Amino acid sequence: MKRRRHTGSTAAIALVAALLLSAPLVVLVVQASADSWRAPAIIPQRFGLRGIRAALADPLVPIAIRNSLVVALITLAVALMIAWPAARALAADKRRSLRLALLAPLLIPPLALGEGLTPWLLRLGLADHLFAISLAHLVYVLPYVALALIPGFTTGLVEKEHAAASLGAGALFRIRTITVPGLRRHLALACALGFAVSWSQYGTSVAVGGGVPMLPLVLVPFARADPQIAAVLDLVFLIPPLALTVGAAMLRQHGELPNRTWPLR
Amino acid sequence: MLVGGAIVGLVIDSLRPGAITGGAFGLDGWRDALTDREFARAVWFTTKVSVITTALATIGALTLAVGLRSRPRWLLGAIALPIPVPHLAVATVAVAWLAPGGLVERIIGTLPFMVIGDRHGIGIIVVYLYKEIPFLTLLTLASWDQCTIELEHVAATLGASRLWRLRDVVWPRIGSPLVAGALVVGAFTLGATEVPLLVGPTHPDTIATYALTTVRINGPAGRATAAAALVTVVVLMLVCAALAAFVHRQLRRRR
Repeated sequence: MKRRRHTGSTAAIALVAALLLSAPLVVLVVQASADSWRAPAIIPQRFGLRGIRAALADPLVPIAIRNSLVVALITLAVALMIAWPAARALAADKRRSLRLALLAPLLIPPLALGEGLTPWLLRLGLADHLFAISLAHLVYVLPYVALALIPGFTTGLVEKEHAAASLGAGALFRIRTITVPGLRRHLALACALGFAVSWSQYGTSVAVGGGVPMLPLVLVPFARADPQIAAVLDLVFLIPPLALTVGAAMLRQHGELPNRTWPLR
Repeated sequence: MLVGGAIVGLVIDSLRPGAITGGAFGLDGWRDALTDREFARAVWFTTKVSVITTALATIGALTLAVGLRSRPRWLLGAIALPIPVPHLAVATVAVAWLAPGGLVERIIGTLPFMVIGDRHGIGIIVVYLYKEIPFLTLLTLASWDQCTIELEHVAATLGASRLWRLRDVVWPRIGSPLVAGALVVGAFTLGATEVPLLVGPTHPDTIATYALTTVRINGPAGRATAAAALVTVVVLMLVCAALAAFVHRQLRRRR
């Protein structure tokens, strides 16, 4: 009886917490589809697709989405190339301080980092280039990707690779049959995290990108000028983080991901 | 390498007005920033918002953690909902709910005080609390493990009061991540750009928006002043990080 009461109260708390935390975000869906929503009405006067049409008709929006996609993919590719050997080395090293040091770059304000990199990028002739923005994003993406990969290398994977090597398996064969299958969950999480972090960068993009349209930069003026278009862009903006949340929850449910707090910022 | 290069680049930028066009070294940028009353206001405003946000987020997280420490994992999933949502998205949602004529005013009537654009930074604080309380709660609960709960039971059996248990059993275990997390939150709030732009007041600026405004108004000539302002934020953050590292070490030693 006591247990049933406990379960009931827990469910009630969960429901209230989920409602309180998700309700503010649900307004985006309503706002994106509200062609007319004048005060003091609580429910929109007219629903429609004006927001989507207007967003697509704006010449900067498709370019901004494409740029954000390209930058996130380039950043992710470079981050994986650097984080892979780093995670392997860090997995073998049990010192916690080294892993904490990985997070140190996250403390530098994105705008300061971008402004500091700009003079160098100008001298290299890279300023206002998508690759330059990727380089700046890399500072914030790399720690997350490395931290997501480290646990994959601590679950006996390296020992399995050594065993395969001693049985005569070549490097490529080992990567294809042991390393990638053993790391696939962590790799998926690393990709989702890295993509989401780059996708949502504002300060670095505004400092390094100059006039290059990126999704967060295009979104800000709409938040004041046209909330319906801003809500549509916000929903596009939320796709990667939501995919990350759902994916992580599914992996966790299957016990393939440890319960941990990702300091996603 | 990129971080080091960026910090060096920022310092050089602050010391060499027109660094891009090859100007001479000087302290003009620092002089302009340090004699500008707007910069002083920006430093005060940013520090105030950061300290209030950090304190409220820590208290909120600790309270939530006390209530949720023996709850099932899926409940924590509900609490974790805002963590991956970008700050920019939360700020636009805050405008929809809390701006004058927004949803809250339509539901309950006129708010007794301004939230969005408030000169004390209430809008900025609200957005950060929505994001950071769940973050700090989960960070705390990760350390408030089964072992800590069992130690609490043992202490209770030996007659320890609730307050004594919290101070001498729980705090040494959760204090380190909570304080470190809180200082990270504080450092992060110090350097925020997009949230103050959307929900902050037009005056005073935060340090980051001051830097942006200076470059927008003065063009390349304002870069040295903006860089000096941003160096100030980096220094404040490094102080926060050093403080976090010190507290972390002390609490680990106690544990």
